[in-house]
Formats: sequence, structure tokens, C-alpha cells
Amino acid sequence: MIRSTALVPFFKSMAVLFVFFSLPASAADSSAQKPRELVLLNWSEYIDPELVVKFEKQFNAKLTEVYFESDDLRDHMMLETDGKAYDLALVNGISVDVYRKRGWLSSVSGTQIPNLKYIDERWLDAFPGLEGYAVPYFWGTMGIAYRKDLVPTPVSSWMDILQPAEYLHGRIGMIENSRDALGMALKALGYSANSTDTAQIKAAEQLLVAQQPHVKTYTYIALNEESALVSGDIIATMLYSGDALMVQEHHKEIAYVVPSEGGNIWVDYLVVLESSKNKALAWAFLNFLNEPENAAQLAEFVYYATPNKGAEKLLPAEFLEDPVIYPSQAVLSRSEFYKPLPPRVSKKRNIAFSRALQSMD
Amino acid sequence: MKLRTKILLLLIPLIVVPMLAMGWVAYSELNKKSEQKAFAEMQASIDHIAGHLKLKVETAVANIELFANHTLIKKYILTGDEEERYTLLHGPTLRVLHSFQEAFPSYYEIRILLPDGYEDIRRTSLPSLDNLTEEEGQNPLFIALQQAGDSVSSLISRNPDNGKLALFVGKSLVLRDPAIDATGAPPTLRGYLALTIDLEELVSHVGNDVIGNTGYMLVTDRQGNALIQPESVTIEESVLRNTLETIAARPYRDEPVKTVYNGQSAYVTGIPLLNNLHLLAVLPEQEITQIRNRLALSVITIMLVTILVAAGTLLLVLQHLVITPIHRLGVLASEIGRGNLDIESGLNSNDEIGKLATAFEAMSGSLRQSDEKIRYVAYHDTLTGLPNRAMFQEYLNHVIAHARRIRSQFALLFLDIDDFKRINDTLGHETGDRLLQEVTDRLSTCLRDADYVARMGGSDAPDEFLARLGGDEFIILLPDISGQHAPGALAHRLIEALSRPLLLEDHEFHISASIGITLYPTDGKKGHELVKNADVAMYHAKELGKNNYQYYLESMNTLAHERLALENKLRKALEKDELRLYYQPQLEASTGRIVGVEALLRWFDPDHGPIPPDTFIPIAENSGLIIPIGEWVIKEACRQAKAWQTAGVGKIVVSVNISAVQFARQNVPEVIHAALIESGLAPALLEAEITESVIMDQPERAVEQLSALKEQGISIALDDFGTGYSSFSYLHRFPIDTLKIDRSFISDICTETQHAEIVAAIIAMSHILKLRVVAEGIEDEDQLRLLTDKDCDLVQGFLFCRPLPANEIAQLLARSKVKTA
Repeated sequence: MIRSTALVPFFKSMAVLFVFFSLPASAADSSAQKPRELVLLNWSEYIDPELVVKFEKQFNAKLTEVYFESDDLRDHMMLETDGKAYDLALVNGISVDVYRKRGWLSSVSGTQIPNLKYIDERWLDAFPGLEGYAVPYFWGTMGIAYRKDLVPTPVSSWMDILQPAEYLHGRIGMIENSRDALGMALKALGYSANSTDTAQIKAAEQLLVAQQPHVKTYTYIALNEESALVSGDIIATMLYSGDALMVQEHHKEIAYVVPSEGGNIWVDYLVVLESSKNKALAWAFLNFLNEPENAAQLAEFVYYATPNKGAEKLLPAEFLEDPVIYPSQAVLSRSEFYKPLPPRVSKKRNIAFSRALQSMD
Repeated sequence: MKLRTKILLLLIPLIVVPMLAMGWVAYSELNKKSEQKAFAEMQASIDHIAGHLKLKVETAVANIELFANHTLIKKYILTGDEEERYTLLHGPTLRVLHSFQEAFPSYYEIRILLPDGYEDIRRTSLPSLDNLTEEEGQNPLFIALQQAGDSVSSLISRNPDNGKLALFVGKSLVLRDPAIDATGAPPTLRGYLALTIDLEELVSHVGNDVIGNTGYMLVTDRQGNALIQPESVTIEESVLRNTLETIAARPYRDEPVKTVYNGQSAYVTGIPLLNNLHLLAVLPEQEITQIRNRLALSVITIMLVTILVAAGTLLLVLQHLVITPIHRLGVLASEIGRGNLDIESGLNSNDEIGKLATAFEAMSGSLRQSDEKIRYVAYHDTLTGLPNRAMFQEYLNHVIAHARRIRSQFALLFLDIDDFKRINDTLGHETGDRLLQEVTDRLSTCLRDADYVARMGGSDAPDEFLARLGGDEFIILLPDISGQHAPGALAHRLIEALSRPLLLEDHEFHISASIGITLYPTDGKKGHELVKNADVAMYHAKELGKNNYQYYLESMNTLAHERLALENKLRKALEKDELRLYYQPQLEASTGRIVGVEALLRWFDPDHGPIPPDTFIPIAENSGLIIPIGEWVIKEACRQAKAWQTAGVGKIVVSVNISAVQFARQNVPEVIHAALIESGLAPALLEAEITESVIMDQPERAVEQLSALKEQGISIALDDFGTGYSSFSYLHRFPIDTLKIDRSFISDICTETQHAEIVAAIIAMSHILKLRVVAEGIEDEDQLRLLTDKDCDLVQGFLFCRPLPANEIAQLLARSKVKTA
């Protein structure tokens, strides 16, 4: 999930400050003491602020969010701070193992977080290395959000934005993530998003390089009324499903499609960082989030599919039947989870994507 | 040689030589400077490039240190697990490398290599640059990296990926992993950070930049391989190696060495670059030579132009200031020479030339004045202020021309002052001059009155013209003659005007004039004719007794001609022995005895026979021939007398006429003395007969001479007594012995009682003064009787005997002697 914000660096430093000046506090203490602090590294607008307030009140805590704009950037921030600046982080499924290997993660279990019982098990092993270290958060798809009224024909293929027509030149948004960009380019060419084939990777790279002049931005668009999609500066962009629904609130002509070649199915997890000094509070927060009412409220806020079965029972049918939120089987079968790649292939893909970003700015 | 040429000949060396010297100096200096400049530029070019490169290297070295310190770089290389590296760190690290490359676009390849040379991460900013290989372990660049140890290595080499020259800067990443290693553990080599830096700029500069116009640069390694060179250039390795050695060995860093590349002589200088590379700058000698030639040409051109301009300007200025004015002055001088004195130089400059011109004009002015003065003097008589002969002649010609044209008449009056010479000699020239001035006044006044009269008569002919011809001669041109008498009337008036006594120096003078009148065209058509004839007429007037005027008669001319002819003859007569002395006896009146003879000169011209003495004596006197003739007469008379004495004729006194002219011009006493000595005659037997004029003209001199004669023992007789102005008181002063009464008194002594009484008186007075009296020209007995009655001493005349030649006298004397005895 990506949110665009220019405040990331600011918040990063804020986060650092918070970390240095937060006092260790027991999870159980409340009124007499100063509120305990938690820093959450997260996408922007990925958590209901009302819930945060509720949590803060309930636990006499202070939750601070630090935002990132892409998974790659989050990795960067984690690397920079060596995973020591935050208490909690929102990590995409494929990255959890690496984080774990890096020693950044602290284990989570049902003992610490009893509400884990509500989580659908299939999400717990969707990716290798998850078990015991990550709490599923939401899942969704990655496709194209576009302005119906600004295109002659509806967008239906990745090629629509990868080899855009004249009227889309300079009005396209992409995600600055090699998995996403290269992956979708590979899928557009009919290959797997997890392809290790050098030639295929090369072809996908060329596609991206050729597209680059027509891309308006690789920065994730805003999702509020000032969004580029709302103003029409961007007509079509790679976007996560829930974000599309969120921005649709501000302009009813915005549509979301998982292209015909298929998209990406992603799962986000929350992790507790090893370096956290407030692990108990972190666990309490994770537990809080997974209270069915809380999880349902959260789902309705973010327009994403919740892995919390308890929450599902509380959600309206309208929500549960929204194909954007809960895609059809057809869509799901076309789309792929990201799989781990051999290191050298990763390297190649990184290089390939890096070339595409070359003459950007 | 013209001034302009001279100046040019002087100017040219004066200008050319310093110009040449200056030009030479300028040329050598400029040449040296330009050569130095060229070499300096050469050196500067390569210094610049080398400096740039050095800066690039230094910056890269500094940057690589910075990059190597980046957290992510360090994390990356410290992450041993390949998977971790590639999945987690690779992307972010690439992004970091990307940010480096954005800051330094020339770092087109940044790699992190593992200790074995494997390129673990490589980011290029050139998408088309494929990696040749990831295994760089054998690459000499990598080997150099390894060998550099801890220090940053930098070298220039060809990038095998694209074959282009690049700057490779590499640093070994020797780190401690704080997470894993113990605190005291030493850092270990984890890998290398390598920058591949684009040298396109260097290559392009070296390959394309021109040194001067035809020079070039090249980069070569130590072996002489040219890494960068211009396309057109290929130089052998050995040659380049040689150059490098020479450059290294030279004493001064900024002096290029001379060498030959591909047959072309060139200057080469060099500077070392990185890792044993050298940057050379080559400047073909030809370029320097060209510069030198261009310089020489410029200098020569400038010199030539300057010389021409300077010479030309100087010449023009001199021409304007000096030569032209001088020429003009020359022209003016010629003009002045030609007589055109009215000149204007037109040179008004405020300098020496101007002053000269002014002086010229002044000179011309004063010349004009002198000219006028001369003209005046030339045409006027200084003494009287009257026009002179020259002017008169011009005027005369003019009047003649005028008269001829209008067929009119005019008259010339030739005026001569009588006996002027006498006055001049007697009273001195000063007085004479004053006399002339007085005469001039009177004549002028007279003429003016005449003119007034004439004008009153209403005539408008030109004025009368009075000129002084010279001496005592004046001439008057009378343009208007109404009737032939008018000139006469004027002449009359003039004579009257002059007859009034003149008062000079408290002396009263009486003068008279003789005037001759000629008329045009009657008496002559030409000027000189008219004047000559007027002169003749004047002379005639003099002959007629002076103090009168005579019109010209043609016969007078003839007379004048005859006179002249005679004069010429007379001149020769003495030589030709045509002159004879005849002797007329002088008898004692009472006894009838011959007591003496008067010597009389006779001339027997072979052509015309005997010429009367009255004719030729005046001619002799006028012409001065009387002097030699008179001398001869004296000598001959003495000789003859002596001869008679020798023959025994008795006491016979020979009387010789001596002219006043002789007295005036000769030392008569001496002549006589010489003659006496020569002949041996006794002085008492010689008598000198003189006329009154001798006494009259110069009394003092006369006294002297006569006294001298008397002292010699000669007797003196005064001839033609009664005809002159002399008075008895005069006679008293003079040593005279005898008085001869003029024949004019004697001739009518019988008829004219008055004359008889005068003669008687003369005889009586003479006797009182103890003088003898001789009566001349007795022709009859009655005269004789009368004279004898009156006691005349001696008688002479035809009655007794006419003049006879010497031999006949001798006979006569013999007979007489016989008779008396």
C-alpha cells in the first residue's frame, strides 16, 4: 500500500526523537503515568484515526505514525535506521522473511495477542517465514485506477498504461517498486510476475524504459480531494484496490480495474520490531485492532478485505460483495502472489527497474 | 637639382633609417613576444587540461571517500548473505548509487566489487551500457585496485564495456561489522567501491582542441602509445617515447622542445597526467614561422606606410610652407627683373617666408621708387630740373609722330648762351651753374607767359617743351605755331629776357644767346635732322654776331657741311705740308723802311686751291686744330726769321699771330721759348700778335703769359684793336708793346672823319702809354698821308706789299736793303 506524502522525512526525524525520548512504560499502567508511546511505520491513511484515538484513550498510549510511500522506501527506512526507530511496522508479505532474517522482528503469538484466533489461517502462511512473526492486516489487489470520463474506452489491460495512447501521455502514474512495476510489465507481456528468465526481465525492462517518458509520476498519488485523479492531472495510475475506492469517494468517475492479464494479490502484515521497548503495548495494540468491531471499522475505513473472520461477520453485504474489495475468482486466478526470487534474479530485476527510473528527474 | 628633390633625398634617409631601426626592433621584440606567447599558450592549454583532470581526480577521490562512508553502502557490503543483499539491500543501495550519479553525472558507472572481483552491484547511468562481464577479477584495473591497498587508486584506462577512456577511482572497503565482530577485532576487506568516470570532455578537448591554429594535443602513455590523439595524427611510439625523454630532460619547464613529427618540424611540450600518462601539446613550427612572417609583413607594411605617409606629409607641408612660396618669390623676382614692379606676393604667412615676401614687396617698391628716380634723373637735367636730351628726343619723336598724323607743324628753337664758357672759366663752375639756373628760370617764365598768351588765344595744342641739351645749350619745342613768325617772336622774347642783367654773387652779368629755329616739316622730317639744322641755324646766328636768332636756311647746312669738310682737310693739311707762312712787310711810316713782317698763314688745298684764312682760321680755332697749327706757325716763323738773319737781312722783327685759343689751352711762353731755342732766333726779333679776346677772357692768365713772354724778350702786339670791348685801363695792366689798329678803322679813315679822329686819338693815347701803333690795311696814299700826319709808327697793307712767300720776302728785303742803303 502506498500513500504519497512529503512529510516522511519530517516524520522520520520525529519518530527518531520520539524513540529517544519515550519513556519505557508497562502496558498495564494508565492514568497516573505519562502515556506510553508507540511508533508505527505505515502507509498513510491506512488506519482509522478514530480507532487510534480509541486505542490511545483505552490504553493511555500515544501512537505516532511514520509514513512511507512504497515498500522499497520502507525497506530503505528500515535499513537506514537498522529497524531500531520504530515499534511496529506495516510490512508486505514478501518482505517479512527478509526482515526476520535481518533480526529486525520480534515474535508474535496467540499468547501475546489472543485475538489472533479471529485471523483466517490461510493468510498466516501465504508467504514463507511468516509464522510467528507477522499479524495479517489486510489483503487486496493491485490494478489500474482511472477516470472513466476521461478515456474513450475503458482501461482493461496493463498495456493501456504501459504502452499508452496519445491521450494518456503524461497522465499516467506508476508505483516506484521493482516488484510491482517490473512484475506488472512482465504480466503485461504474458509472463509471470515472478519470472526469473533474463530475456523476459529484459523485455519487461524495455517496456518500462519505453513507457518512462509518458509517466507523470512514480510517486504514489494522494487519496484525498486533492488527488491527481480527482483533478484529472492523472487519468490512469497503478493503484491498490482499496485506495481506489478511497479516492472514488471524491470523484464518482473514478474506476478501478484489475487488468485482463491479471494483477498482484498482496497481503499486508503488522510486525513488532525487535528493538521496540514497548512490546507489551505493541501486542496490546495488535490485539485491539483484531477485536472484530475494531477490525470491521478498520475495514470499512480502508476499503480493504479483512483477514479477520470475526470482522467479516459484522461487515455489510454491500462491502462483502464489492468486487473491488473482494475480487472474483476469475480475477484472483489471473493474479499472482509475489514469490521469493533467487538473489541474482532480484539483482537483475533491481537493475532493470533502476534503469527505467533513470531519466526520471 | 630642384629643392624638392634635395629635400626628398635628405628626408628619405632621415625617415627611412630610423623607421627601419624601429621596425627591426619592433619586429624582434614582437616576434620574441609572440613566440613566447605561443609557447605560453601551449603550456597553458595543457596545464589547464591537466589541472581540470587533477581536479576531477581529486574530487572523485574525495567523493569516493564520502560514498564509501554512506551507511547503506557499508550495510550493503557488510551483509554477507547474498539473498539478503539482493532482496533487501540491493534496491535501496541502487537508489543511493542513483543519487550519487544524479549529483555527479560523469560518474556513469558505480560498482561495488567483492574481494574476488565480482561486481556485486553496478549502476550505470547509461542504460545502453551493458556489462561485459561481472567477473572483473582478471581486469588490470581490478588488480591495480587490489594493489592500491588502503589508499584510493585512480587511473585512466579504457573501459572494456564501451572501449572508451574512463577515469577509474576505487577504494577498498575495509570495515568492521559492529554487529558481529568483537570490539578489538581488526577491520577486514569486504570489497571495493569503484567509480567509472566519464572522460569524454578530456578526450574531446585533447582530440579536438587546437593549439594556436594548427597545433594539437595528445595523451600518451610511457611507452609512447597515444591514447588520445586527433584523427589526422599518427606518430610512432618510439618517436613519442623519445619526445617524453627529451621533455623530461629539459632545463626549463616552459620551454618546448623541438622535434620532427611525420616530417614536420614542431615544438612539443608536455605535462604528466595520472598514472604515467602524459599530455603533450604539439605546435608545428610552420605556425610560428607563419606568425613571424605575418608579423614581418605587418611591420614592413606599417613601416612603409609610415614612411610614405611621413615623407609624403613632410613633403607636402614643405611644399606648401617653403617650396611653393620660394618658387613664387622666384617668379616675383623674375617679374621684378622683367621690370614689372607692381607685384603682390600673395604670401601672408606669419613666418620667415612671409617676412621675405614682405621684404620682396618692399624691395620692389623701393626699386620702383629708384626706377622712378632714375627715370627722372635719366630724363631730367639735375642742375636745372629741365628735361634732358634723352627725354627731349623721345618727346620730339612723339611730337613728330603726332604732327605727321595730323599734318600739323611745329618749331624747334635751339638756344645757345653766348660766351658761356668764358663766364664759366672766369667765375668758376658754381657761378656758371647758378647762371644756368637763372637762365632756366627766365626761359621757363618766358615760355609760361607765351603759353598763357597762346592759351588765351584759344589753342589747345600740347605745351611748349623746354629742355637742356647740355652745357649751355637749350632747346625749345614749340608745338603751336600760328604762322611762321611765332617762333621768331618767341625767340625774340627769349633773347630779350636773357639780355637783362643777371645778378650773381654781387656781380652783374650780361649774357646773350644765339637761337637757331627749324620748322617741321619744312626743315626736316626726322628728329635728328631738325635738331641738327636748328644747331646749324644757331651757329649761323652766332656767326652773325650772336645775340640774335636765325631761321634755318638750307644754304646754312651746306655751309656747315663745307665747314666740316674743311676742318677735316685742315686736320691733314699740316701733315700734308699744305700750310705756308706768307709774310706781309711792316714799314716805318716815316721812312718807309721795312722793319718787320707779319707772318700770315696760308693754306693751299690741292683740290680747292688757296683757302682764305678768314674761312679756315675760325675752323681751326673752333676745332682746336689751331694748337698744332699755331705751334707750327711759331716754329716756322722763328726758323724763317733765323734763316733771314743768317742771310743778313738786318733787323727784321717777325710778328706771329697767336690765337686766344692757344693762350687758353697752351703754355704759349714755353712753346715760343722752345721754338726760339730750336731756331736760335733772338727773342727781340720775335713779336707775338694777340687779339683782345685773350686779354678779355682771362685777364690774370693773360698777364702771366704776356709777362712771361716779355721776360723772354719778345715783344707783344695787340691785334685788331678797337673791335673789342677792351678799354685803355686794361691795356695799362698788360705788358704790351704795340697796338695794331683794326683795318675796319683804317678803311674809311679818309671818308669818315669820326674814324679819323678815333684813329688819331688811339695813336695819341698809345704814344702816351709808350706803345707803338701799327695801322693795318692801308690801301692808298691818302690813308698813308693821314696816318703819317697822325704819327702812326708803322704801316702795313696792300699799298706797300701784299703778303708774300718767304723766298720773295727775302728778295724784297735784299732789294730794300739795297734801297735803304
